[in-house]
Amino acid sequence: MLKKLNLLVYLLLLCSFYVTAQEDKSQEKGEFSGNFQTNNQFYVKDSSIGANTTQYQKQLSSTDAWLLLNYKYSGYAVTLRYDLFNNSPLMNPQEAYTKSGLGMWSVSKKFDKLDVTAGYFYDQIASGMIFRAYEDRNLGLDFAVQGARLRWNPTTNTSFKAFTGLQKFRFDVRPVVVKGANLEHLFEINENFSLNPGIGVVNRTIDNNTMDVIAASINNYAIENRFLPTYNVFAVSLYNTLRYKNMTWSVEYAQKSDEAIVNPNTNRMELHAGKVFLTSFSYSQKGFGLNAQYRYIDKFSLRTSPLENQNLGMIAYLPSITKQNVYRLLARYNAFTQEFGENGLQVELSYKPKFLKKHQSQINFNYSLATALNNMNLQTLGFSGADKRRYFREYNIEVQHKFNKSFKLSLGYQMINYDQQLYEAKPGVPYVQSQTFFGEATYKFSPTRSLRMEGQYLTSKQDLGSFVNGLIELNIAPHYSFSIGDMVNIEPGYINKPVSGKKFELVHYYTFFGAYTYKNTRLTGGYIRQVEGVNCTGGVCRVEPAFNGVRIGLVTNF
Amino acid sequence: MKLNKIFFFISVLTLLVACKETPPYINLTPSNISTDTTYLIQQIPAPQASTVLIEDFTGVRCPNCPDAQTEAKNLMANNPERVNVITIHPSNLLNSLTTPFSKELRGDKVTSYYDFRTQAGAEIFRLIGVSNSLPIGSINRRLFSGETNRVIDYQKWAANVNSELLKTTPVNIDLNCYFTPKDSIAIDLTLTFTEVVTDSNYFSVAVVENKLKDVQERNTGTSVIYDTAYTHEHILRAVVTDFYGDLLKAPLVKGRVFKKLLLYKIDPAWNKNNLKIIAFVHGNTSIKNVLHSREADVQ
Repeated sequence: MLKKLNLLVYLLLLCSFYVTAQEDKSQEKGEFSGNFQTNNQFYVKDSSIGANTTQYQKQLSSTDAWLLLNYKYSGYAVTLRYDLFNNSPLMNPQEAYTKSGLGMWSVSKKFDKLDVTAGYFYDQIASGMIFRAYEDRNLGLDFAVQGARLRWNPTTNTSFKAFTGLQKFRFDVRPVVVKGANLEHLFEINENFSLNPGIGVVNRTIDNNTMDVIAASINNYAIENRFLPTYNVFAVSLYNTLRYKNMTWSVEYAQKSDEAIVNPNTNRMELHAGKVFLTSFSYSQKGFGLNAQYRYIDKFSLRTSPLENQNLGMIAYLPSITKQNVYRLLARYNAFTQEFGENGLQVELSYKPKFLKKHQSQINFNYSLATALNNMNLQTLGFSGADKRRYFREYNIEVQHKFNKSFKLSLGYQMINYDQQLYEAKPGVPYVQSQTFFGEATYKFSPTRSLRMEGQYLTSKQDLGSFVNGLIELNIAPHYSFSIGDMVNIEPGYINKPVSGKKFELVHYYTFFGAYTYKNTRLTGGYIRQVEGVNCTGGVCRVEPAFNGVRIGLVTNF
Repeated sequence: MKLNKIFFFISVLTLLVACKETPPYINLTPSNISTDTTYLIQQIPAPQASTVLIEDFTGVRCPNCPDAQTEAKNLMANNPERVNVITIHPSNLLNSLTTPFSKELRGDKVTSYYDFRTQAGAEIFRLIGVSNSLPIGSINRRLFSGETNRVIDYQKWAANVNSELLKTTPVNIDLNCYFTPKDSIAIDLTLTFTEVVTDSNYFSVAVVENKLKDVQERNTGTSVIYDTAYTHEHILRAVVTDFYGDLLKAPLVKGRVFKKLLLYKIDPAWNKNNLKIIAFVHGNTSIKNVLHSREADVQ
C-alpha cells in the first residue's frame, strides 16, 4: 500500500515538473523550495558519566537526516520529506533505530476560499490543548496526521477547518482514527479592540486490536478496579483572545469525555473525564513588559490510546508553562507537564529603567510554579522555603547592561525547587533545591568580531551536587563561530556521593564547538561531554542519557 | 446566517458521533479461583504430547454446522486424547443462525428445548475474530499462513490440526476435577512450564456438556430438515476463568509451576454425568495462540 502511495506521489511530482516545463514559457512559474538537515554522532564510551547505551557498545555512530521538498504551482502544493535514521537514538535513547524512506508527503489544492489537503499534514486547534499535529525532530517527535483536511475561509476574518486521519508513528501510522473541526472568527470592534473567539472539537476512536489489549489489562485488575473503557473520546475547546491597545488576554477551556487514562500514582488505568483551563495575559509599553499565564489541568491526557506514555501518541499539546532556560546549568531542571493533575503559573516581567542611560539596562524577572491540583495556595505561592507540595518552583532574575557599543554584560540569579522523584521517576531521591549565579559578557572587537563569555555556578546538596560551567565563544561574522567550554561537577550530591573512605573526583563535561556558515548553509561540529538530564525543546521534555563523543551537523535551506 | 448554518452542521455532526457505544468485554464478577500459588522446580518433567483445541462456532439454525461437528468428531477419533473440542453458540451474534427455535415467539415449526448460547461464547468469538458465516472454527487460535482470520472453514481444519500436532508444547497441564458436596466443581489445575515462554500467557477453563438432544437444522444433501433428535456434543456451558483468560502472573521460565484451585457452582439444569472440563494456556493480545489444552471428566 505504502509503495503504491509512494509511486503515486512521485508521479504527481513528475507531472508537476512536466506541466511546469510545458507551461513555464507562457504562464506563471512554479515555486520550488526545501531544506536539508543532518545530525551525526560518534560515540566514545564513558562509564564514569553513564554514557553506555547501545550506541557506545555496538554501533559507535549514528546519523539522522531529513530532506524536505516543496513545490507550488497554480494553487497546487506538493510536499515530500525523505527521512533517514541509521542506528539512531533519537526516538528512544535506549534503542538503535535504523530505517529510511518517505517520512511524509502531501498534496494540496487551493480553490478560491477552500484549501484541500490529502496525505500528511501538520495543524492545531487554538493553543493545541485538544489537538496539535507537529514535528520536533530534535526530540524525535513527529505527530503528523495522515488523512485529509479541508480549510475554508468564507470571509477574511472567519476560518473553518475539518480533518480526519491517523497519527504518524515512525514510518507507519497508529491504527487509531482522529477527527476534528475548528471554527474561528475575528471581530474587529475598532482599531484598538478585537475579539477572536473559537470552538474546536476532536474525536478519537480506538481500534479493536488496541482495545483488546486495554480490555485484557483491565480484566487482570482486582475486581474493584475494573471498569468499562470507551472506544471514543470527545474533546471540546472554547477559546477567545481579547486585544485592547497594548494588552492581550487569552482564555481557553477544554473538556473531554470519559476514557481510560493511566493514573501515574497507581500505574493503573482508570476511567476519567478531563478538563484543562489556560489563561494568559500580556501587557507591554516602552520600557516595560508583563506576561503571565495560569493553567489548571485535571486528568487531561489525550493520546492515541492510554497505552502510550511519555512523548508517545500525543494528540493534545500541553507544554510546560515554566520558563525555558537557555544557559546549560539554568536548564538543568525542567518541569514537564503532569497531565493527571497540575496547577501551573508563570509571571515574567521586564523593565528598562529610563534613568540608567536611556534604556541601556534591562531587568528581567521570572517566577514559575507547578503544584498538585489542590496545592496552589498562599503558602505555596509565597516565598517560604522548600515545600514538597510544590512540584517545581523557579525564581529567576537577570540584569543586563549595555555599557557602550562594544561591551554588554548581564548578571543573574536563579533558585529552583524540583521534585526529582516525580519528574525523573527516581524513587527515594530527595527534593532538589538549587541556586545558580550566572553571568554573560559580550565584547565586540570590530563590527565582525566578538567574544562572548558565559559562566554559571550551581550549588545543590541533592541530585549530582554542585557544578560550575564556563564557555568562551569567538564569533567571526559572517562565517565562523568557535567555542570552548567546561562544566565541572565540583561537589557531589545525594546520587553520586562517594562511598566512605573514597574521595570525590571532579567530573568535567568539556565542549569544543565550531560552526561555519555560508549563505543558507550552516555546518557545525564539536566534541561534547554532556551530563544526563531532562532535555526540553518547544515545551516538551524527555530524559536524555549522558553523551560523550563527537557531533557533526549540517543545515541548509534552498 | 452562514455562521448559524456552520454551528448547526457541527451540532448535528457531534450528535451523530455521540451515540452510545458498546464497551468491550470486562469481567465484573469475582474470580472463581480459591487457591493460587506459583513456585519453581528443579526437576523438569518430560513435556506432554501436544494437543489441539478446536473452537467450533456454530448455531442451531445453521444447516451446514453439523458437517463441521462431524469433522471435529472425526479429528478427535483419529487423534485420541490429542484433540479437544469446544462447540460454541455465541449469543447476540449472527442471530439468524444461532437463535433457538420457538413456535410461540418466532413462529417456527419446532421449539428448542435448550438455549446453548452464552455471552462467554460471544466474547471468545470477538476475541478470536468474528466471522459473518457459520460453521467456522479456530485451530489453537492460530492465524495460519495465507489466512486473514483465526477462524477458518472446517474443510481446512484437518490439515491445520495435523500440522499443529507436530509441534511441541512448552507447558504441561495436569487437571483433576471433582464435585464438591455443595454442587460445585472443584478444578485442581497444575501448569508446569518445561520451556521458557517470552510472551505473556493466560489460562482459561471451560465447562462443556455432552449428549444434549435438541433441534438442529441440518442439510441432508437433498433438503434442509429440522432434526429434533440431533445430539449436541462439547457444548460450551460456562467459562470458569475470565472469558479472555486469567494472566499467569510470574515469569514463564523453565520449571515454573502454577497451582490453582477453582470452584464453580454448577447450573442445576446441567447433567452432571455429561460434564467435562477443558483447560488451556494461550495468549490473548496480538498473539492468541493456544500452547496446550487438556480435557478431564468431573469425578
